[in-house]
Amino acid sequence: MIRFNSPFHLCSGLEVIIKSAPKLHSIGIALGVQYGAMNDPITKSGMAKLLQRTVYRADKGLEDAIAENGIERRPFTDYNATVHAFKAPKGKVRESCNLMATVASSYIITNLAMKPEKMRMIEENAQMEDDADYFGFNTLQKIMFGDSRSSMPTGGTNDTLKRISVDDLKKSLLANYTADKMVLSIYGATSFEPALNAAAEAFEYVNPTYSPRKVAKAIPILPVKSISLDRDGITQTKFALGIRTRGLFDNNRVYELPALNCAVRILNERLYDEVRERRGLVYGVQAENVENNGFGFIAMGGGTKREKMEEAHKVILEELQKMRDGEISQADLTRAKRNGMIEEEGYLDDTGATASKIAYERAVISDGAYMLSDATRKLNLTQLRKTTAKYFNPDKVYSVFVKPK
Amino acid sequence: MKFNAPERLDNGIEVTVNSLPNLHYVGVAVGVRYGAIYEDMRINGSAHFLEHMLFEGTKTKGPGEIDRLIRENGFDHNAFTDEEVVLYYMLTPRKNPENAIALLSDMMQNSVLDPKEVEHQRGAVTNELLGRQDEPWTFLRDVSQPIIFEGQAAGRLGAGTPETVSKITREDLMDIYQKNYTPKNISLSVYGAIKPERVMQLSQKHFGDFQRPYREVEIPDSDGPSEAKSIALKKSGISQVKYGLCFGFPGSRKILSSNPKDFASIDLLVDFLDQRIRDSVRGKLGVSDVTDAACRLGYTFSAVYLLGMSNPKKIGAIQSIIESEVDKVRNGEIDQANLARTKEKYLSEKESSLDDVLESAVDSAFWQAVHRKQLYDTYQLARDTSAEDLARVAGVYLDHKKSVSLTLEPEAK
Repeated sequence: MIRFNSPFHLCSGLEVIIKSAPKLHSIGIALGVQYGAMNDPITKSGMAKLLQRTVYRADKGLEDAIAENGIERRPFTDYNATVHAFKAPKGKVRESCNLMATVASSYIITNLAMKPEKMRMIEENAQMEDDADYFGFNTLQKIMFGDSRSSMPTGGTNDTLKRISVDDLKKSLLANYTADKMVLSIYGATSFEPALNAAAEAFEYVNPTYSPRKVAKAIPILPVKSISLDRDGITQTKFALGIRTRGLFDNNRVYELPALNCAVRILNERLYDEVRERRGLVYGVQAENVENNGFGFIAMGGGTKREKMEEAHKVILEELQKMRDGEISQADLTRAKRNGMIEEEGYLDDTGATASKIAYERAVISDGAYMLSDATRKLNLTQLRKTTAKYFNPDKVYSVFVKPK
Repeated sequence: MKFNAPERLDNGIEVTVNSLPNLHYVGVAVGVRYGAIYEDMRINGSAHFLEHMLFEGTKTKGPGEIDRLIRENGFDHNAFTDEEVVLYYMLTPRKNPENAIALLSDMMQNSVLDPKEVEHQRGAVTNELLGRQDEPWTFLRDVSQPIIFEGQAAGRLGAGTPETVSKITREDLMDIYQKNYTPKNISLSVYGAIKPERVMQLSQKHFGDFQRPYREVEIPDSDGPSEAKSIALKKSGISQVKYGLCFGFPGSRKILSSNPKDFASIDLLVDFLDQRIRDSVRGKLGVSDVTDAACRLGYTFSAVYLLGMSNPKKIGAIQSIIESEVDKVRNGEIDQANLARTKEKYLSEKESSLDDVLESAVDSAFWQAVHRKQLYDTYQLARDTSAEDLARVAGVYLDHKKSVSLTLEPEAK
């Protein structure tokens, strides 16, 4: 875990975290907001993401000002949070903070601002539907989570987007872009005091309302399913496999989350070795541990020739079973932990990515971010094997196969 | 910024060092001056296939051993092949860049191309190509190249096709390896938290004894289309249309000898057009970010791609906007405020990228391997390029009489 200074709280309640690295060439400034797709009403899915995009249009001239200051924007919204991230040139910490505060308080949202972004999201959704891999994963989420928010894409659907009004966005902004639900992180080519002063001045009056943090309810476990769909225009069979886990904020998971992260790292090595290298069955097969507010899963996916799918599937399930049976060594664990730390250190040269990561983690799991880091360090082989024994069950794998028609 | 000029080892290997001691990582990249443009059509895709094989074992490392070493060292790594170059790169924590340099050196010199691994990788490569066919954007990019550069060397696909890959033999691959992975074709670039003296010491230690005869090859230039083309392709399983207005023209080998400044100006021109098109599409159609612009500036060929995506009802309007914005620039209709904004953004991105260790190592190796030199100082470029320069460059290289208009449409059921 990247350790920043202890956070400060402004009078408004906004949390500010700063790490100075004056010899770098840029500054990352990120605002994490505890408002993501899981907070959207299911009939208006996509609202958090639409708001994230519309706020840049609400203030006329904001986009131009961002560009004129040479700032690169990297916002994103997932199920848990929204992050507005800037990567700015050296010497622009004051300007960046002011512009970020404008983003966070863009209360005057109009249809003129919202409409192009809504249309853009509708276009994007249509483009993504043309991608067979995305289609496979979207379908996987539906069979794993049924008719819940967890099965809706973060960008919503055409129907849900069309239902979102300007008033909806305004209310969302006022309710969620509040000082108590936001974290500002600053990292890079700035000294500490100027950065803190810039943050304090810019965010002094940004919506100081308090409202309690919402934790999503856990999604019920649905029966394990395997479905096969035909699709035009593809040459390979795409597969998307999933295993349900628990989500964030489950108090019984002190070591489970770091254990799953390490386990998935080890699983990726084995899938690469066995499915691609030893058998040449795929170009890429990737596993990922997805942890969200109220739900989690391990996702695995890739593509192969139709006639090789059964073999590839069998090998993947065999590797899961081996890990379930405890075929994991101390060397595996040590390597997984070390490579996780190396990967995290690598962020330190990317100011935008680092600021974004800190803001996100603080917004979503607050002090839990530091606990996670400590739990990872202390994770032992027994805990890892206990976790894989619990989750890496081939009989509990949901499967979607998208085959060439 | 401008990357440092390389030093040469006695055997001809170019070593470029850009030392930024305050960073946490070191990027190591090796560029090999060989790609699809040099391939016989029968073995189109062999450069890319060979790229895969270099991770499959050397005289001292059996199959799987290189992957194991990469994991043990915590390297972030990858490789790519295009028409003119193959690039291998690793991101390493600053304490052990020697391991990365040593590993890359062993791969360049001592790969054995085990026959069993050749067959495994044939499967991986074939799946990669099939995956590219299934994804609409990569499909369009792959079919555009032979159209833009029809009958020319740059018209060969960087990774071949499943059909050509199925026929490549181990002997073909070993022949290419022995003839082209030679010191004089190799550029090593090291960027980040390491001192230049240390880099030269490690380079000499691990690459200094590398000897393999160099062979002169004919360098095939590709000048782009001789007339305008408009082609509509169909693909099933999609609902949205992809559009590309593409321009092909010579590479630095020809352009630099006649107009040195032009080459650098094209980079800025593409950024300028990108912004103009986005603003125009948003203003007129009320939708944002459905366009993109890219350029590939090579040694023997170059290309600019102005792209749009939308549903069938809107794509015509986007197409018109793209064409119109190119015409405006050709006619010198360039707003000074927009140009200033483009330059500011361009400079900021270049400045910020100084902290991106891997991207910088790769760029440096790419420029050196492809262009045989570090071409230009981007700060100087942004400062010196005028509206007139952009208009002139657009007039010469984005000639609508030699453009290729490509659409990828949904196939009717």
